[in-house]
Formats: sequence, C-alpha cells, structure tokens
Amino acid sequence: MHLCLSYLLCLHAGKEWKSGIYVDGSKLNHKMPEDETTGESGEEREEEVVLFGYEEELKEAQSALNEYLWGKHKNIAIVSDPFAGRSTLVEYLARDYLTTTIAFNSVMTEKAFISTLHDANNIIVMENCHFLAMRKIGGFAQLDEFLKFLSKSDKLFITTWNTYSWSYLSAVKNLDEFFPKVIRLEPMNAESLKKMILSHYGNNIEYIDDAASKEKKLSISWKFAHIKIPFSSTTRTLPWPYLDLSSIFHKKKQENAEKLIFDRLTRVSDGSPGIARKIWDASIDYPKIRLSSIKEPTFDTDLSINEAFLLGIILTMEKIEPGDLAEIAGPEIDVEESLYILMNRELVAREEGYYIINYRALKSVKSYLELNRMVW
Amino acid sequence: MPNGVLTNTTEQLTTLPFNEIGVETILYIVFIIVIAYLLVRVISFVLRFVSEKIPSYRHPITMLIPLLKITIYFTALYYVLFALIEPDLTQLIAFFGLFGAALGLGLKDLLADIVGGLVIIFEKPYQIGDKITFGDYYGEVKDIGIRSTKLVTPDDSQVSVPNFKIFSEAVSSGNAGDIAMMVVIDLFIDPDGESGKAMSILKEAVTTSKFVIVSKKYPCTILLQDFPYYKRIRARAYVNDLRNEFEFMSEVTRRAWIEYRKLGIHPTQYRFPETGSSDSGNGS
Repeated sequence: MHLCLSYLLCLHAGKEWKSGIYVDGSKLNHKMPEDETTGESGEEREEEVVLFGYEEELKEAQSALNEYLWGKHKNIAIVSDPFAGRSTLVEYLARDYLTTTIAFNSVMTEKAFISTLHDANNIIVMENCHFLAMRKIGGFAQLDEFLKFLSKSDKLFITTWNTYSWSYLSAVKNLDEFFPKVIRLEPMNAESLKKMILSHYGNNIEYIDDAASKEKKLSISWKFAHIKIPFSSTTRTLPWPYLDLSSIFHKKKQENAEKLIFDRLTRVSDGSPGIARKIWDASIDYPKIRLSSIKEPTFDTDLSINEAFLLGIILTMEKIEPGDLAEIAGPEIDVEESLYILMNRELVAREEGYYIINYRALKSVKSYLELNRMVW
Repeated sequence: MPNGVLTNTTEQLTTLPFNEIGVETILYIVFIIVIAYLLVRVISFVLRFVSEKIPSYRHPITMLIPLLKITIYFTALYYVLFALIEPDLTQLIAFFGLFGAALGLGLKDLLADIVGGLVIIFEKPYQIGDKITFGDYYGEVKDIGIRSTKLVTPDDSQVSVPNFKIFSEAVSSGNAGDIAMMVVIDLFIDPDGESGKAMSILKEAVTTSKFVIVSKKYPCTILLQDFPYYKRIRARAYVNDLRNEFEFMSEVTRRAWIEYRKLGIHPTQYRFPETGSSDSGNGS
C-alpha cells in the first residue's frame, strides 16, 4: 500500500472557493465512499449541495466554526454510520468558508499527507479519518502523526469518522480528547427521509398499498427522541417503538399508502439516508412505488469469531482492500475462506476491488456485532 | 423445644387428615413430579437458547433458571403434600415445624444446600456464566441447582460444589455478572530489553486483538515491573466474552512475541527454580 495524492482541484461552491485534495492509497480519481452511497459521482460534487434532516447538526457545526473565527478553537468530529451522509454535511458546512479538503479513500500507510496539512488553509476538512488507523500492531502510526500535528496546530480541523472506528479509537487512542466538538449524525425519521427522497423524485409519485391487511391496520415504527444530557453539550438519540393506529381510521387511501411506505423504508434502512435512497431507487417503478417492493430481508448472522472479526473490520473501515484485511487478520485467520462465507450470506459485497458491507445487511450486521461486543 | 409445645405439635399432627393413598394418588404424585421435571428442563433449555442468542444479556437471563427451578419444585412439593393430606392452617404449621426439625436432624446437609442455593440466587456472589474460583476449583458456572453449583474447569471437567460451601468458603468471581472479564497477561523479557517499546507493543497487541473490548468502562492497562533477572510486562485488559479468556491470552502473547523478536527483545534466560524450566514465559 502506498500513498498518492490523486488530484488537486478547485471547486466553486456558492460565493466562496475552496480547495479539495482526494487522498487515495491505491487509485487515481476514485469515487468517494459517501458519493457511492448517494449515487453521486466525483464529478457531480460540483453540483449545488442540498441538505435534508441534519439541520440541527449543521447549526452545531456552524456555531463551532464561527467560534473559531472569534478565537475559540474546538476541533470538530462528525461521526456517523456508513451511508449516513457525512460527506454531504461537511460539503454543505464548508461551502461558505475558505477551507482545504482532504478526503481519504483507503487505508493510509504513509505520513506524506502531513506535509499537505502544513500548507493548508486555516480550516481543514478531513473526510474518512478512520482510514488513518488499522487494527493491527503498528497500525496507528499515521493517526499518531496526525494527532501530534493537530495538537501543535492553530488550524481548525473538521473531521469525519465512522461511528465504530470513533468509539474504538477514542478508547484506544483517546481520540475524543482531541475533538471537543463531536457531532453525531443520528438516524433520520420517516418525515426527513421522505423530504430527502422527494427532493430528487418530485411529488408526483403514485403510492400503492398492496401489502397484507395486517400491516395496513397496525403500524409499528421507530421514532427517535433527541435527549440533551444535563450538564453536558452532548445530545443522545433514544429510539422508541411507536404504535400507530391512525391508519385504521384513515379515509384517504393515498395518504395511508404513502405513510406506510415511508415508515417501512425508515424501518428497513434503519433511518440511514444513503440506504433509504438505494432501497427506494431499487424499489420504484417510476412513478409508481408499491409497499410490497420494499422488502425486509433477513440474514444468517451465525458466524465464527474469525468471520465476525473480519465483518467488524469491514464495518469500521467501511471499505477495505483484501491486502489490508489480510494484514489485519494475520496468519491465524483464513481471510479468503471467511470472506467467501460472508459474501455467500450476502453480508459483504465486493465493489471495485474493495470489500464493503452489503447496504441491505447493514442493520443486521450492526445489531449482531454489537450484541456480540465485536464493535461498541 | 419446651415439652408443652412439643406435646401440642404432636397432638396436632396425629389428627392430620391423611387422605387415602391409592393408585390414583400415586399416579397423581408421579404426574406432578414428571411435569415439574419436564417444565424445569424445557424452561432451562429455552432460557439457555435465548441467552446464547443475546450474549449481552446472557447472565441476567440464565439467572432466571435457578429461581424458576426452585419455584417450580416448591410448587410441586406443595401439590404433592396436598395430595397426601388436607390440613388446616394450624396443622400445616405444625407439620412444617416438625418436617423442618426432621430435615434439620436427618437431612441437615441437604437443607443447608437448599438454603445456600437461595442465598446464591438472591445475594448473587456469582451467577450462571461467571468464571469463579470456589474452594480449590476454577471454572465457568454452568448451573446453580438446588443442591449444588456445577462448574466446568478449563480442562472441561465438571465439578459439583455443594451450595452450603458458600457459607464457609470465599468465592471470587472474575466478572461479577458481566460477560466481559479482566484478563491478566504477563510477558517476561530479558532485563536488557527495551521496556518502553515492549510495553507499547503489548498494548497494541492487546487493543487490536479480536477478543478485546476497550472503553472507559473496560480500560486496558500496561504495567512494568523490574525483577533482578527479568522484566515483567503485564497487560490488564477485558476479553469481550469470558469464554474466550484463554484464546485471548494465547493470541496476544503470540502476536506480541512475534513483534518483540523483530525488535530484538528477547525472553528472559532466567530459570525459575519452582518450575525448573527456562521460563521465558511465553516466548514460544
């Protein structure tokens, strides 16, 4: 694995300008992982960014940025699950400021990126920072270098991280001490997902309720309550089951179907905008969308410790090359055999030479690994 | 017991309205016992199955098993007694008084085991699934029965420890109801070895292990101690599931020594007198 700075480009976003550097361990002009989740290509990044559902998080980040301009320095960590839209948020956030953007696209094994930080603007956006560390002996060198630089620097760092990498690195490397402002992108509710999806598809969708009558009468969905923890700036999201009987009394069938479809979409996608969008794209027969087309898949997650460990690594890294995975696994684990099993069970997919979590299985994978304490 | 009370109790019992014990009564009693036994087996199986599916809640779920076991068996005893006699309240109290005295005299060990079992269930010095040292034995608690606690030792031997020992012997639980458990891993290096690097490598070997859990609640600590002929590098960390205790130790030790050798950190050559072997600790 070697480092190469793939390209340096200037983007015009709104009134201001910014520079962006895409750092890829192996390939030139590789697409961003977040872009893949939303179906946007690297070139499409120049389009006007529209943000749905993360208004509160955006405000929090903007206020930290403004505080920096007034002399109060708080590095920012934006933390989320895969497919949650971190890149979109930081792009939206950084558009009105003079920033340098560095986006990591695969595991970093050399520290050349540090020299880029020296020459960068005062506000540095660093995307996918979980690629700075590998879970193996000697795998934290790049992260250590970065944190060393950061601790001596007056620059403001806006970084994005995978949720599970963040928790792991906070425990192992005290990462949270370096980023006093942590913004977590929590799952979206049905209303926000609907807004996001309809912004792409318009309002002329025909919703068809062709599911079993049981579901029509009784709808259970997850709601998310945002709880502010006393004596702390942290906000936590608590999920709670919501039993909706209103559809029994609903007279307008069109509205009922629409609600059922978005409730199911929220449930299946676990509130993830990237996954919801993918499921929607796969389910719609424009302009019609049927409730039955949004399927709730089940996966066999009865795994050995080695398979679970590799699955956890793929989840925390979001995308990883087979070579890097083999390095992390060491000689004790037969990586090829384990990956074959994981792919056979449709938990993992291979895309452009990288292993990623199958987006449909993300919810099951997270739940399984959390229950078994392979990730936390 | 004063003479007057004893006479009174005996009188009460001689007037106990014993039912006629026929084949039907015997069949009924057998039926109750079989149902109670099957119920205990089924509930135990279901709860164990569920607990394995939800590892984080394994201990709370399995701890329901002994509680339900005792409840079911006492309920069965109640039905059996009422199949044999139909006492009024005074007679019932008298019966249990004498029954208790008989137990105390003849079956005092069994009674002590039952009371010990109740103490274990409610006081929870250990739970099903814990790794404990009880008397001379170390192992995972597989079952807390009415009479004894069953342990499975690391070499897969099953040991039954009578419950009454809880009153007389100290019990240490490595995880106290948690599924994660602290594990101590010692590596002994040559006194000339670079201890800073050795500590740093051991820390990374621990924190990158597939068996580890690290958080504020489950911290990882690395300690160094100098001895005349060796340095001891000690890691204290938590294994994510106590069933992986030994695999965790083995994996960390193996990976740490591979890195030590690359850096020229060698095992101590000191020969420990008590073992008589060149105890590089874990340098193999």
